[in-house]
Amino acid sequence: MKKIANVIISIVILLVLSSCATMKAVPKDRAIAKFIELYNSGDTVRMTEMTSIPMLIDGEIVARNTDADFFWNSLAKAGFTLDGSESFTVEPLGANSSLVFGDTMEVGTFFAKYVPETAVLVRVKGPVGDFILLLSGRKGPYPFIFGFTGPLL
Amino acid sequence: MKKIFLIIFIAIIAITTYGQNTSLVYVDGWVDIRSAGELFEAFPGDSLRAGDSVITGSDSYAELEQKNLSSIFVEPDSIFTIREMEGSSGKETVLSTTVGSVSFKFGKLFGIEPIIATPSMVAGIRGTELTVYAGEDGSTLIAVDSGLVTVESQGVSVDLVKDEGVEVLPGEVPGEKFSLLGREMDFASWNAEKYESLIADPETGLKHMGNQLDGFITEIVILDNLLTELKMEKEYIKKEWQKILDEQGKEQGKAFFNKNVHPLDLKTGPLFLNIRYYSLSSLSFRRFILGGLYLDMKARYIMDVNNNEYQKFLSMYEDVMNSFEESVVPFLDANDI
Amino acid sequence: MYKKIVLVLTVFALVMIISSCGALLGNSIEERVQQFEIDLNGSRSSIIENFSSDCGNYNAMNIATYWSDNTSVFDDDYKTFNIVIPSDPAETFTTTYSDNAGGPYNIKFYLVNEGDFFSGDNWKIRTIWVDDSVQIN
Repeated sequence: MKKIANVIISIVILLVLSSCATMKAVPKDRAIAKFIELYNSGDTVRMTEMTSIPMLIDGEIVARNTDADFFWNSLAKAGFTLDGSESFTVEPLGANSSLVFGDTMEVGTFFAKYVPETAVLVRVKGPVGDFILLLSGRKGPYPFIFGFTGPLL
Repeated sequence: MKKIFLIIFIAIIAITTYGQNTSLVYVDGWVDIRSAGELFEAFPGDSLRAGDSVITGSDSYAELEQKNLSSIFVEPDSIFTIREMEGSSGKETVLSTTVGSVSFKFGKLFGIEPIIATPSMVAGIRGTELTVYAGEDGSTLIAVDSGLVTVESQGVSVDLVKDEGVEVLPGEVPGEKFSLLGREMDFASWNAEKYESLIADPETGLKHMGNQLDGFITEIVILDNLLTELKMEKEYIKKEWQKILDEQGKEQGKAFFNKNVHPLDLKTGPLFLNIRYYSLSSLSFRRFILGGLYLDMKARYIMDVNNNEYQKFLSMYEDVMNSFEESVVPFLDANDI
Repeated sequence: MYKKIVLVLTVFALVMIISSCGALLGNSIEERVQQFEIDLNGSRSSIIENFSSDCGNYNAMNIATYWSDNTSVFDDDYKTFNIVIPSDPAETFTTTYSDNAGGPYNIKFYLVNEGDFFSGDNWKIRTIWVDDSVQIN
């Protein structure tokens, strides 16, 4: 009886912990793969939920949920998908990471002010070249997205 | 016992909310306040400082009150900001709608009437009820319910009275005024129509937006030149002052300083704050109007990035951004981002 | 017993709320102007905290160049500033200040109390006039 109670308590604790959202956690490969899967599923509502606002798209700071929602919807409408074969590469945040998005004061400030140190740059193939996803933290199985840019030249 | 708790609770709420100038009195759905670059969820009772923006989503709405004398109604999908600048008759409050639809009902609230602004125009008002529609293409439509409104853009003014309206395209002079009688104003369809024509010809739209940004930049450059001149004059006179200090002593130096340097010191601060006003307006325009168009174009052409039209757009966009970087960014800092 | 627990929890909650609201950080008018003077003569990195969030120029002046450059009337080069603070000043009061360059100049302050039940008085500067010219509003 005591064993069952312990198992139930453990499950409850795990459930509570897994439902907690944090922006500061290094995303694991599995979570990144799940994120790409989420994007490719076309669930733009969930994508917006997993978008940290403000978000960076190229050199543009997206300051409204509505704009992030519009962007994910527009990409889905355009039929844009990411390579789901888990062949992405992951790079931790470095001193020059912001330059991938742009060499401006706004981009530099965005990284300094809004991007946690736990963030990673994920390079993933798209239909027209490689794209960068700036991911950090976790909510359920997915990391949050802080930035998106590409195709890389 | 319960009653006592209730009384204490109400008293605490009353005490904590007293003395606020502009506050949110009603919020429906999720509304954000953007303050010093950070986003906070808005709640009734929240107060706004100048420079803060109220951002409504597609299904949210907010009402603001200023000193209980004026009401501001921020409709869905809108960005509304209160700013302040140095005008010809002292400090002027500027109620700025970057995008979306905002209605105003004024009492006698500021001593001097506030200025209504959008990216493409400014309007002076007198005892007025009006609605401002700021389109995502940078256009503005003003509809007056009562009072007198003077709309100004690119140096040309149009006076509007009850039941009159006017449209202003970004970077253009005000259009012909029209009667609102028998005309149902619908922001959503007006905005959709404006945006469709923008996206049908993004190059022309971007050109207009570039002109609008140039308007802000011109103001910044004029004020910055004035400030630089003043500072140069100040530095020059300060050298003379130093000489007098060395040769004639502290008392003479002080008298010279009070008479010649201090009057210049009184001018530089307000001048700089006006430059900041135009810089922050440019930043809003860049973030929500230009940035919105960029995101839309990126998504539209993401499967065809080498498309000639898109490449042309990107090249024009880069030019606009270069002007922004060169003329506006020097007056911004991390607190603004 | 139950009542006792509720009472203890209520007291604990009140203590937590009061301490989180910074009850000990309140300022009288005199203390606020004194702090402003200290900040003018110091690094100026936190000088903005002396001002009410209702200041129309709050965001505009929330930039280092305004305070550290020779832009504002309180030019960094003129340190040390010395504001004559009257005892028990009213929310709007006029006094004088001087700096190492010149003065005395007339300075008028208007302060607002942003304190609440928990924090006590917390006066902040809303407007500053120097020689009748609005410098900060």
